[in-house]
Amino acid sequence: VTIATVERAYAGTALEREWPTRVLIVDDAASTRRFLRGVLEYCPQFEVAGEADNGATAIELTEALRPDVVLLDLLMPVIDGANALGGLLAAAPDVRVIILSGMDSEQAAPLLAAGATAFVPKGLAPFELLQRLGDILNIPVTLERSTPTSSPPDEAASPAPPQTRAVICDDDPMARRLVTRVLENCDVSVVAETDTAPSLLSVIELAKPDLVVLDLWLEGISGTTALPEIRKLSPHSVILVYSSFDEWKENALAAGATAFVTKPNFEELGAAVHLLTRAATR
Amino acid sequence: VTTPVLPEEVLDQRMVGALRDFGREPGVLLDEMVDGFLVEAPALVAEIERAVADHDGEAVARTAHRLKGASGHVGATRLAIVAGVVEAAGRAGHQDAIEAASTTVRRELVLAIAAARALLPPT
Repeated sequence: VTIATVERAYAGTALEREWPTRVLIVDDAASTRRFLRGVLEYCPQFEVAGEADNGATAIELTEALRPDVVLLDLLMPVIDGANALGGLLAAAPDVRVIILSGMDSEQAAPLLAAGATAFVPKGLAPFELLQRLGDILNIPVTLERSTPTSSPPDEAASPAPPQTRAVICDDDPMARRLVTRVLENCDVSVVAETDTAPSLLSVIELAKPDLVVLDLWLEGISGTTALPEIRKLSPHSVILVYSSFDEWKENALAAGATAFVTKPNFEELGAAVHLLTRAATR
Repeated sequence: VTTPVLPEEVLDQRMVGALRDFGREPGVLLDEMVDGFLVEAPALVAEIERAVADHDGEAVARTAHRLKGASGHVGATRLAIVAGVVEAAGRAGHQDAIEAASTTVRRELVLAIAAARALLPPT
């Protein structure tokens, strides 16, 4: 009886597990892998076993690392997610493969029939994603701590590294102030605030920030329209969209955003910034 | 354009509490957001009313969207909801609905301003 088998037995109950569920993250976008790693490491019930940026590597790592769960993107080079599924299940028949994709859920139906455990859309807020994974795996997830926004002062003993540099783009001055405060509270340095997409692009070209916090509703060129250009100018930046237009989430993620938080929820924004910056510095 | 169901609270006390408790200097963010709201919101409502008078639905929608955002930051949920109604009416170009909703916005603004002022420390 392997540990993984025992774990699965536990996973079928509501019993508290004594060891974390080991997860292999498979996505060709480094920013998405960082985000997922950050989210999973926020939760003691999960442990990141490894990362792969294509389906072929994922199959090799699944055989070598024997993760309990594979979070599998679909659109990837070399071998895409759909074609990797069979190889993953052959490499580790007990592994649970969760499709995590920005594609339509209907496209995942054949994969569920072929052995994938579940489909989870990309773009969920961090806590929502953890909760969804917990529900799928029947794991009662708990968080390492509540939220960074409500942290006691002594949390300053382990802040995110101060070198994380951010640029904010929002045409609402109150939003810029709020986002700045949230970032400062996460020990992120705000190097510039802008209110239009063209000015943001200029700043990004100069500042090469680690983090871009972007509103989508902007005068002139919208944030969604600007996203591919932002991604091109700064391919390694984490792009966190903070917008009230939840219905634009899918388009934003498809256009290059790393994560999406719906306004007005500055606590969720703080949690996302904390996770993303912590993951980016590992 | 539908008639919204408004919560009883003029300001969402959970949001107000979260703003008050935020960060290493509790109270600072709440004061900043309230100060910003007291300046922004009346100006935006006045701008909406000018756009309504000009029958400029696009400007109504654009400004109402900004009001929705400014209200949301400080937990003025009722005002944010009616601003959303004005925004939708403006986008649809329904002048009657725009006028009705903007009247509601003015009423909710008065309530929200009073509630927000009460949050500030006495001067």
